Amino acid sequence: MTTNTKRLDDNLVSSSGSVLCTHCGTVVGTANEWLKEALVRERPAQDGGSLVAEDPAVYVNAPVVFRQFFCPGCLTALQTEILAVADEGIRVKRLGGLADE
Amino acid sequence: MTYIIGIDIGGTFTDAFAGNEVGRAFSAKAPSTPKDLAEGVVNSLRELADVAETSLEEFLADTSYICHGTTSSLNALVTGNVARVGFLTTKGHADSIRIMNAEGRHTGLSPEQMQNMPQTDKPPPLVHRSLVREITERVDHKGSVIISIDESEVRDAVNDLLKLDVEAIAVSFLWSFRNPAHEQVVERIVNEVAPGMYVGLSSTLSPRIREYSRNVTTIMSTQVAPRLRAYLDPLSQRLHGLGFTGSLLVMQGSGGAVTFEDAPNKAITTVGSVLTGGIVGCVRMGELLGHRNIISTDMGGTTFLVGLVVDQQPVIVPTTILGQYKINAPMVDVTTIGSGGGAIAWIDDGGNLRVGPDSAGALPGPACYGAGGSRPTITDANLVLGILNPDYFLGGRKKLNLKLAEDAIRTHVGDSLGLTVEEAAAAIYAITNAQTADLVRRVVVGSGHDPRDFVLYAFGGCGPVHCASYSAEIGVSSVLVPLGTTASAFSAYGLAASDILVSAESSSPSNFPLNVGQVNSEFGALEAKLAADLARQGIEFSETISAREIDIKYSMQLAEVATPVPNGILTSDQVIGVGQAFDEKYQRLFGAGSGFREAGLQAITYRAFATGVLPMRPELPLLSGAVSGPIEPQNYRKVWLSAEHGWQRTAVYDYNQLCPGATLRGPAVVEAATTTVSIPEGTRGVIDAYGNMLLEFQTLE
Amino acid sequence: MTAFPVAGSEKFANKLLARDDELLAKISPALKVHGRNAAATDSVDPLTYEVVRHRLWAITEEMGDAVKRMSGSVVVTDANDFGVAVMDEFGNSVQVGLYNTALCASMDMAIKWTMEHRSGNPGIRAGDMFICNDPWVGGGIHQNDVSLFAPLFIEDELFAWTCAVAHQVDLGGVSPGSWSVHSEDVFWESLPIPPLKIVADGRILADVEDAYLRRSRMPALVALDLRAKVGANNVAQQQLTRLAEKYGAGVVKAVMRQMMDDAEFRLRARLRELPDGTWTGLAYQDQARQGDRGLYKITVEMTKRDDSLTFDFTGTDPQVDGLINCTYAGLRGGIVTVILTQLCGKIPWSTGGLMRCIRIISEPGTINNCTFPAGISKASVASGWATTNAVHECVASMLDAEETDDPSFTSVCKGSFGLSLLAGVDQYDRPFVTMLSDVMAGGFGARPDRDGVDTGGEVPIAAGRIADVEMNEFSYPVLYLWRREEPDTGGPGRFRGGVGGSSCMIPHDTTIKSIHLVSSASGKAVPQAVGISGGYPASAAHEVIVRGSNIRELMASRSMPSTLRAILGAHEVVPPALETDLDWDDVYFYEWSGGGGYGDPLRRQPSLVLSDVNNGKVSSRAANEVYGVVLTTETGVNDTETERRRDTLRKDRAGVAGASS
Repeated sequence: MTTNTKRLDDNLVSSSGSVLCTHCGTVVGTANEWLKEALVRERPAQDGGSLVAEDPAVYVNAPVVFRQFFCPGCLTALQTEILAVADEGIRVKRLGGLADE
Repeated sequence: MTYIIGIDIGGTFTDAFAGNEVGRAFSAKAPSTPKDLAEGVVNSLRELADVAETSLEEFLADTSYICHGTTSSLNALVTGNVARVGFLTTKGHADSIRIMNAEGRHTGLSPEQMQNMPQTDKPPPLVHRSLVREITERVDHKGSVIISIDESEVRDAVNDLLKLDVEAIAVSFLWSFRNPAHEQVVERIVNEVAPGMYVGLSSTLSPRIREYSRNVTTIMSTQVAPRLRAYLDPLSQRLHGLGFTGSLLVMQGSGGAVTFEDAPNKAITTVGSVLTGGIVGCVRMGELLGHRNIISTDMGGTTFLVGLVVDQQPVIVPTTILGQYKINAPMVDVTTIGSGGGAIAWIDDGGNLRVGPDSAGALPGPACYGAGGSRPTITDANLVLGILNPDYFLGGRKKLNLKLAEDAIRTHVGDSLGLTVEEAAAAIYAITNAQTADLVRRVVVGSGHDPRDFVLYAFGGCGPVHCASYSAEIGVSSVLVPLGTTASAFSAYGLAASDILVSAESSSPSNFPLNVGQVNSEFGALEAKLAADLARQGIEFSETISAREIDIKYSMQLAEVATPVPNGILTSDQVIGVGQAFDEKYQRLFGAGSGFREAGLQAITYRAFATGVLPMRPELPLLSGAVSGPIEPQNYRKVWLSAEHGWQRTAVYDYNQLCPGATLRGPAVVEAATTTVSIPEGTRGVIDAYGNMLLEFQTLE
Repeated sequence: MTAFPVAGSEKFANKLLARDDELLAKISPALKVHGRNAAATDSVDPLTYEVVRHRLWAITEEMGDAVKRMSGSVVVTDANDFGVAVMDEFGNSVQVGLYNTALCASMDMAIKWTMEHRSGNPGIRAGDMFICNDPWVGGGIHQNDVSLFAPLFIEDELFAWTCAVAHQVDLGGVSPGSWSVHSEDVFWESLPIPPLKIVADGRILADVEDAYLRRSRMPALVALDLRAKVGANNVAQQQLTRLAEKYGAGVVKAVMRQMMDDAEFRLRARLRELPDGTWTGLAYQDQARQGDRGLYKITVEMTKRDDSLTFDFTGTDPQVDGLINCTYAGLRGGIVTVILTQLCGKIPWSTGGLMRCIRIISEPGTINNCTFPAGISKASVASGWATTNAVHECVASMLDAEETDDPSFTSVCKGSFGLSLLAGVDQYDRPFVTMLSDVMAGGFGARPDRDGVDTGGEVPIAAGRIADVEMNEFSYPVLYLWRREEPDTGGPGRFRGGVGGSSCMIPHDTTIKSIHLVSSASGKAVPQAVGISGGYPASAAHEVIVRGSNIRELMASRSMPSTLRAILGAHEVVPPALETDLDWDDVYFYEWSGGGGYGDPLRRQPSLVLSDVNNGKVSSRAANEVYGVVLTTETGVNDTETERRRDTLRKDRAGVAGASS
């Protein structure tokens, strides 16, 4: 890992336009798409680890999943969410200082 | 003639006051000894005997009562040095002490702390989960048993806790104040299984509706009782060993004392012990001077406390906040509104000048103490403004370093604001006074009173420096600075002038109209309990005074108002009158039209007080001498006392040279051995027959 | 029937806040505004500034005390669900009280609207007070929030405004409590009242008051609260007048401006310390009304550049037939709550200055910027709350990117507010309606340096509290089987979200042997307290009614169940919106969520997990399956097994056969 890094969150730093895992230094994405290279895994909403007592289908028609992004190097969970399948593109994070404008 | 002694343990000093019935009175102090508080108590008594020019043994032999304001219970709770307590409660409700009604996160915090939400936390639970046992039992709101208690389950739970080395057991079941049978079963079983172990029952210690505060009160009482006994028993033996044959009394937060033998049974009420002396002092001094309504302000080095006396009675509230907990114990309503003379002046991120709430405390203290404090405090500003005399602070006992005060103010305030040291000090002084006025006003108005009906009493070492300025803004009629024999030990004087006070309460929530028979039987039961309680004190009283109240609320509104109830067997008209008295008190407290009467009234808690009046009370001596001719100031110096007048050549008087009747016009400063009194221009100070200084505002209509 | 637009309602669609000079151009010349002619006192000395600033703070405290003491609503007196503020002559908030922060967030909107539309007719004069519960205009988030604001005149010039706003228990509409789970549009609900002069010459106008109270099922109580708000405004006006007399109106005004400038300056300075970037938040509500099966989203993209924040809600779902929409006032309230609690812990709450740092992009006709006549009766805890969640996610993520040894923020707190409204005949044979407050003991979000506060309260309300079980059992015909914290309700993470809790109760001591229940809790299909930095979302809200249960037999045989499973009967899952009856043998269980987690739970210190298990904050199942901590029988951590378990879990959850660790 280079010393010229900027913190992004508990697990990520940015360095020269790349986003790296703090724990193992693996590149997981770019300034415009932090988790571009991250592993993604989806599971039923009740099975991910958050306490979800009932299948979301009991309440709503929209399919809902538990989705996690992982560092491909050390498998640290980088983003964890429960959301409608249709909304999977919504959560993105972008570094203003490095973004192409 | 024998003496009554009051002893008040403060953070820095243990103060003692002794008086008899023929006007001999003395006071003395010794450093407090936090490791063994009794040491400081005995030292202060020794100092007192010295002042009385006698030996400690002879002096104690000639003393009937020693009334003691102790920090023991409070310290135990604050430091967590409490007994290891097991807690039994109703199945399904053990988490009450962890949920804390969600208010435990913010109760007792200052507005500044509350605003900074991500940094707020609950305190750790009072009893760790491993020492809590849920018991299958249930009583409903009427006191009916829904699920009866299973003795073998209780026995198992108690044995379990004993294996975990608990020192005492606290029990609080839902609705136990309506039906204590289940709690009593637990008590019986603990007595069988572990004879001699202290058992605190909520139905005895705090028989009041609202399980969260009842749980807390029961647990805290059980936690501190063993520690309080372990402090008081040896102290008593020590005093007896020194020849004391009178009664050792312990002050409660409620404004009255109990004997040391009984105090551990009422342990939680002694938490407010040290707050009470000053208020009782105000009541007694007010009786002498004819002041019925008093704002009591005690500004020391680290705290600023405000309490109220209305109609010669201390204002007592049924619930007290301790740390982040609300506890059920009637206590004098004392509010901490500031951080005393050690409050630090600082510049916030926006470049604005602020004073407090951080305090330099007793250590390192203000910069001018030269004890390592570098940040400027109110006391430093007062020194720079010439109000304090560096060579005669606390009667010359402490030398103040003007240069250190100037450096601190220049570095941390003046330079950032582009002000000279003097300008910065003046701003600190004026801001302190204005903010104190805001906060005292809020306490008075918030209690439903008009400040104009009050005399403000200012004591504590730092109070008299500021009181004339902030009082004028609050609008009180006049200000009294207790000096004379009570000067250095006003709280100790209050302790010496106290009576025995016991109280009992029980919740029996019901809607109006109340059943007259029930009301009479509630008070009958409470008063029988109090009579036994008074008898247990083993003291002969000159008279016994009873008082009763019911906490009443409008059924749709939250505020419960303790409403006075006549003594004796009540008629139905008198019971109806209680409802009317509630209406009136509610309007007075909260404003005309503020009660939602249509929803009806509810009686929640019945409470009775019994005061055992001690057969003797200290008389304050009248000072000799009278004014003859104009009073000469000791000297003049440049002092800054108000923004309006700025620096003025100001007369400085030595308090010891003043006689009753002496009248001083501002601007003036009076230096006493224990404090300094500021008299700004437009204010007049008069010494009364007891040596107090009464300040009046000439501009007042 | 789908709601259709109402011609003429545009007049009330208030969202673009005019600048002071623009507003000045719009108001009637009959109204003289103190305004800019106070240039003579552009700056005040530090002493005067601090003295006057503190007095203005004390005035809002005194207003708050006055409202609490006089109000008849438990939600006001007990839960602090009200707000007070002092504003300048254009309605910009100078000082907001430490109560419900969302409520005062749109006072400026209501006052500016009033100045524009009421200064000519009927006029704005000394001694007037205006009432308003029209969330399209501002001054509150749903119709239950009734604001009362008063102009303060010094000589003949409008010098400032004061206001008090509080939740009213019932203002009509088809269901008791005024939020109906059947609502399709605002005509099913309490009809909003745009700014209406209800006090003139210091007197309440009887005809206007009657028109206001006539709509309520509890008119006497609502009348009492009106007087509480009048009282609070009177207190403020007396004290402000005294202040202006003592220091001069120009000086007080200069301090007011400086307070807003100071707050703005400090928030901008704080923002400049933080990295630039764009963060996204996403929040949902499930079911817009009873019988609906939709899932509705609010999305926001927050861009932080230099010293300002832009919130762009583009992509948020269109407004819907139901009670969950909110107007622009609710959207703004949702933002203000987060700005104050997460960014302004040490910055004064002069929202008039703070809001200058914030830009909002939102399309009218969306679920959190709805147009008339969309249903909004649950707005405050529906789209308003969800807006708070989405904004909180963005702001916490931004704060997380700061390099600091002293971080201070929380992950998203309790994700939804479940309404449980009970009605029926109480144990004293009187009719009753009440809203259970238990759900207000929500868990707070995890922090970057420690866990979230368990059952800590409500984010918008700095000093909320819930009622004791005994007070509820004394007042209403229920018996609690339990009220407790619930393990695993806090979002897992390196730092755990604070846990929420649950209550379980049965009807008790009511002659009709039944209780009417209106339930409305979102966050059931999708948990709403999201985690930060890989931290997991908190639990989903959960509600169950066990119909025809054996609870009474259990209790008769001296047994008190401690789990739902131990109670036999038909377990009926309660949907996010339901109006029903609890019968004598029914058991009502409701569980509310905790706060979101922070960081990867597999990186949580095992000793903390051990302590969580011992304290009932985490189940032993979750300790093993989510945190990967293997506990020994002696309740210690087995370090070797834990290492191994975590390694396995890392691969399992990522669905990979083998990866380096």
